[in-house]
Amino acid sequence: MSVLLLLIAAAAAPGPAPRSPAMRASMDTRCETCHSVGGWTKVTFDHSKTGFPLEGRHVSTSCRACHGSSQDFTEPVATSCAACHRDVHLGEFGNRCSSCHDPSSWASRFGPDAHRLTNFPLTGRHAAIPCEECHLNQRDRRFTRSTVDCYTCHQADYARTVGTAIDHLRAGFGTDCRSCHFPTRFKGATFPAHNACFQITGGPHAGISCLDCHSSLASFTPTGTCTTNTADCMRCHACSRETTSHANVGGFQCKNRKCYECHTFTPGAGVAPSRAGVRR
Amino acid sequence: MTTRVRIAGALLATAMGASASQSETAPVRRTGSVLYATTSRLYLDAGSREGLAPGQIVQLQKGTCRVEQVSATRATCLGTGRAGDTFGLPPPPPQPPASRLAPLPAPSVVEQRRSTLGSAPHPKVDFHQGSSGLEARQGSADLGIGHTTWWTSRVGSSSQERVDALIRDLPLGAGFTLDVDLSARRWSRRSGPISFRPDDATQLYVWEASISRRTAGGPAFSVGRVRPYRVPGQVILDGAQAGWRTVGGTEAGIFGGVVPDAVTLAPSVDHGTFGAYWIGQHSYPGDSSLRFLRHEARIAFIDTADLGKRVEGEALLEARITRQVDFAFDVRGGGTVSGGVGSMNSVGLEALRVDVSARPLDSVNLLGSFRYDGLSIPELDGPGRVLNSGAVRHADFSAAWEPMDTLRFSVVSGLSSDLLSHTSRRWIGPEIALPRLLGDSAGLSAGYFREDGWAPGSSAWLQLLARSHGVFQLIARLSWFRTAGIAPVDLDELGASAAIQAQLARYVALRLSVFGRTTLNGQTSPFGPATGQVAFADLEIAGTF
Repeated sequence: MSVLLLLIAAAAAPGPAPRSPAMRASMDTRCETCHSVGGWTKVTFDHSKTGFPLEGRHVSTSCRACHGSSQDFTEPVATSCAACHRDVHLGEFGNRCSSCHDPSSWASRFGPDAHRLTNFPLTGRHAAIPCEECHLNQRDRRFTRSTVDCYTCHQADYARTVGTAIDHLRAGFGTDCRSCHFPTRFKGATFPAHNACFQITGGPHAGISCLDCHSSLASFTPTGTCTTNTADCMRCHACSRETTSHANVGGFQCKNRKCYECHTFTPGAGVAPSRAGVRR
Repeated sequence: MTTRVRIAGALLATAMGASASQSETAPVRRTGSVLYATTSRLYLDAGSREGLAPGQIVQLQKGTCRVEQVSATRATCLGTGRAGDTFGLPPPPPQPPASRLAPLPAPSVVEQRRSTLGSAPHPKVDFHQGSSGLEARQGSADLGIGHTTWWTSRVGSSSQERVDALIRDLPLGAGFTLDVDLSARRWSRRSGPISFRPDDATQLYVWEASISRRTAGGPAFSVGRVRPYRVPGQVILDGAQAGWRTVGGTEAGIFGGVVPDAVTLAPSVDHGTFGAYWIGQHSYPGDSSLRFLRHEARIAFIDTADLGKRVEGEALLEARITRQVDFAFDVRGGGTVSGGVGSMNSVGLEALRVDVSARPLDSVNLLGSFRYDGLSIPELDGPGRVLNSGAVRHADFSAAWEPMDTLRFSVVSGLSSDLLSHTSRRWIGPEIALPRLLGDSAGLSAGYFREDGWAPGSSAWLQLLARSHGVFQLIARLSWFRTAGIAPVDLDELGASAAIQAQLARYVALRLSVFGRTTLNGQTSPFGPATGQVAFADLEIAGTF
């Protein structure tokens, strides 16, 4: 009789707790998990549970385009991009397309920031030039290129200085462009040896073009003796104003050479006056 | 009757009565809950029987969703939430007035109707097996018209207009399909030194223009400007690819044709290629450790302007092992032929690639790759200058941990070595991401890299992703870089970029990408007279069909 009572009580008790969605999905066929009353063909399956979340254009791709003739979708499908998409790079970058391509359009999202994860970080102007300027091969869409020194690509720019005010060849400048030039543009270069005479890598004269100070460098040959005699301080510093401000300086003369005899702007040496009165 | 039996009878009667009354007047539910949650859709455990209707706004514990479709007991709801979230149900719809049903017809009448229906003629409907597999694809077309401008301070700008077309598997009838991949470009302005085709303001590139027919259990071929179908490492050619494809998807065949110019893609009969290929792929049952296997191979003779006459062999193997590991391996060897096939020199390994991704736990993802390219390819870089490209070694490894849906930590590292100049760079750094900072609408990530090598430095960035699924997406990014060894002083750069994609109509999208960077050149002010600025903008109207 006790057994009977237990059976009766069990019959009257509430049913078992509902199973978890995952259990239901794996153990029985619940059409509403994927289908709706809108129609059998309008399927809403949570593909992210498979480990391959559908993003971008994959959302609107038909199931059969990837799963082929599989009737129950349990047949494994390769998840690499190359399993469905043609690799126009001939395998150069392996099968991880998503590191460069957007799944919504295939448009490349590889940019100057991403280029930093290569052997050649794009700095200065290199960050805003067409890719083809360096990666010439259009047929194979290859992007490997030797990381060469500046001169290899910029030979023509070096040669272009011949006959100009700063003839690199005549001045005996080397081909290590990086020691003087910034990657933004060739003009506005620094000349580290210049600091021994007059500091231009820092201080108030940083970034000034050579010919903003020097009246001519046509016959310039660096000797290290600070005697080009072409620096034209008076171009920016008006004599009338400097004479007034130097009224108490013994031996002051309003001559170019006299200026940089005192004002070398080299850290720890010379005088660094205020910039008041500078005419730019 | 004993007392025990009386008690049992009473309990039985009570239980049956309770069960009956429950079935007749089930208690009205006042709350529902979310069964599943995807990125943009919730699945509710209530339907029209509980008063839900399409378009109705459901108030969740956090946020709302809009009912999309309903069945009697279930509904889908557009919005964000989590499985287990509860919501209040609307008052049940008023019950229709009870009406007495017509009395059942007499058994003789039912039998008469049954015999009438059974003897009525009706047309039979035959079952037709639909097309399946890759052949079921209906093709796609992407057409775009765009404008790009590159600008550098004190130098000027370059501008280009272009038309792009990408057509895939467009059915032409009788099983033939069309594939096209081309780009027409016009430089409206170019400034600064120009290396790439300086005298050609108008350029046309056709990477693919072929007609194909690939049926399972029959011949498979492509003709035209062909990018050989799944032939690893094979250069495009003006010619044909022909083979035999089994029902299971295995294919073998040959290809041959002339090779277009590497820079202009102009057709040329001076150089060519021919060879043979093999493609195979297999899926295995779900209880097998090996789930998927793809293997491809190629052997070819190639004569190109840059590398001369060569023989190449390449093999690719890709496997999915359990649900956790994906593995890909690609190897290419070859040698130069001087004086004809048979007299080869410098035969050796030319390329090797290994990619491995593993997900040992649901919350942990590991990615690693190694790439070696030993072949140096001469390129004509501007008038009269030849550079040797390629010959690199690259490796990277990343590990990501997602303790929850809204948080991801990762570490990214890499190495890139140039085997010609004997220079290399290495980088490593952490990234933290909040991919669901505002549900599915917005995410934020930030990272830092420490870099070493011939141009050492540091990078840091902050990136925002905002989107409305299928309508709009914005990726905005702020960056800072410091690079040594590349300028007279350590170079600091500040950059900002944004990429916007907006779906203007069902088939039309707008894509805008802008980028700007200022290089401090040793200065403290980002926009001082000695600094340099660069910018880039790309606008495209794209149609997808």
